[in-house]
Amino acid sequence: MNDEIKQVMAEVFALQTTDIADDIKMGSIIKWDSLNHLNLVITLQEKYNISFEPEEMSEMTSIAKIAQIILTKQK
Amino acid sequence: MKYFIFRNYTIENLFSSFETTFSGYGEITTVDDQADAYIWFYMLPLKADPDTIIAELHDFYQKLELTVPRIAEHKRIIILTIEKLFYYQWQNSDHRLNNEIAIFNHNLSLLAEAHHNIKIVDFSDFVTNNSDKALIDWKFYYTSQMVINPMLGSRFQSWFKQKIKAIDSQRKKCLILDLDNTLWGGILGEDGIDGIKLGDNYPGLAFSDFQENILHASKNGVILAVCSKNNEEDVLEAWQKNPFMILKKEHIAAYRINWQDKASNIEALASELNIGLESMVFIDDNPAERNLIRHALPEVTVPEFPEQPYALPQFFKKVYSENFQIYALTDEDREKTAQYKTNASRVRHREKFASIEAYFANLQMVLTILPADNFNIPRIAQITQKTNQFNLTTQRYSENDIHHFVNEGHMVLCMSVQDKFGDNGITAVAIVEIDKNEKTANIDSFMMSCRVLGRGVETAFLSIILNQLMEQQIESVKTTYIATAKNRQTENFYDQFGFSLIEQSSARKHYQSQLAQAYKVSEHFKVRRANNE
Repeated sequence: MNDEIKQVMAEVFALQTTDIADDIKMGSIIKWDSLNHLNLVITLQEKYNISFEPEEMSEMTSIAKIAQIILTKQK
Repeated sequence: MKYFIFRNYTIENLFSSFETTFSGYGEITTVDDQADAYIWFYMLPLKADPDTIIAELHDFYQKLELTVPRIAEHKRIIILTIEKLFYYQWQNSDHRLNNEIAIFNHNLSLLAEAHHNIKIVDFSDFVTNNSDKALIDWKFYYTSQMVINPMLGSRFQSWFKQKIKAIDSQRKKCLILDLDNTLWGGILGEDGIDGIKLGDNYPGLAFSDFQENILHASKNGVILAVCSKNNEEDVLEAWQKNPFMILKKEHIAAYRINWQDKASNIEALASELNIGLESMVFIDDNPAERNLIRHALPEVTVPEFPEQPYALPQFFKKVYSENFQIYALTDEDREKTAQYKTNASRVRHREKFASIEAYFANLQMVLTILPADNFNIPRIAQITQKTNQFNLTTQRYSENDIHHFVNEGHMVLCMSVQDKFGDNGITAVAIVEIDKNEKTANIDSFMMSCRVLGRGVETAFLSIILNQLMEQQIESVKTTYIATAKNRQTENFYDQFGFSLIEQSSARKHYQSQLAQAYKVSEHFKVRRANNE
């Protein structure tokens, strides 16, 4: 799951997966701004065929948190 | 192409595959003069009060009027129309917003008339064609000021790219159509002109609409061609006689209706119309034909064809918008089919004539009568050796034999036939034995190549010969028909010409005729005589 999320991030941020640190945080790199956050949310919605709530979107600030939210939604 | 986009909501994701910079929300103070082109994409606020919405709409127009003069005139400005995306209709009788939107969009078109660099894109076209998905996803509206559902992003991008293509006039030119189960239901060769499904009721109605749509494509500058495996006469008859037929021969710039493979036919159509294969779209219900063309002629666009006739309207709309969409039609576009048709008919030449006489007259035939000489004797001998079908006596002669006739003072004539398509060369030969003392003649040989038959040439040739005999004071002529396995078509030629049958056996008919009055040669022919006397 974490690797899949990294993959999506690399795609959305136009970076290599190796550039995405495990402890990456929203705002810790320039590429993860509010606009790309939106793109990340949309891409993940499409990939996992789920729909995030606004509260979840604002909590999705690290790979671990994103993975946790996706897992709860997939149950 | 670098775009600068004026906007009042979050739309970045709708243009992610374009090179873009964006204005602030509702901001017009900066106009990026580094941009190659500009896009204006404002959306109505999703607010409760109609008066507020209308006031904002007026504000949009004022902003636009302030912005247009600040953009270089040679740079394109694409303006999307305003659409009602979500609206609280407090009173059903209140139509103010609808009317204001209509006025706004009408003003846009006036603006485009005044400024040639302004192009209007109808956003309602996107809205109505994507009604299967929610247009607004409210959570993105509240979290990101995004009106258009981001899940529609990729659809919007391809739609918008098509619109730009249309503005750039990068459209295909020619639509090549199959007939059976494409332009009508059923198979013409099996079901007949009355049996094919067209008009009346389903599925005929769906095919009628399809034809109507294609006709309108033609009116919008798309060249139509037909490529079908059928008997040509059957199709021509169906075009003429089926009362439900909408697309007729006059709408088709060129066609190939035969049993050859469609790849060669499409190549022939391309060269006849002088259009590149990459400008052609081929529509056929048969997957095998579609596959053949995709492999043999990969430049040609071959869309899938719907299984069900009721899916034809959507299919057609897709084919048109993906391949033939145009921003505005020029006079030249409108005349395109006519132009291509004229060129094509020069190649094919199948005009329709009121009568066979009118057709002959139009051929501009010239008959040149030549006495045998050293130049044409080899050809004359060859014609006597080869001609089987239109040959009254089938006498075979060598060059020496022909020389002998000439030296004996007999009449050896040949004729070349020319028409507006070209010169057929020497195609007819007559050898007439002449007895000057008795003032009689005997037509020993009379023959003609099949190439020129069926145009009255044979009757004209005989008339000319008889007139020449009269010039030589000949008063009576004899002739013979000798039956062979192949010359049945000439069996009654002399009877029909008016010669008297005087003796008949199983294989021979002998004729005689008095020569008194000159024979009239049909006006279709211009007769030239080359005398070497």
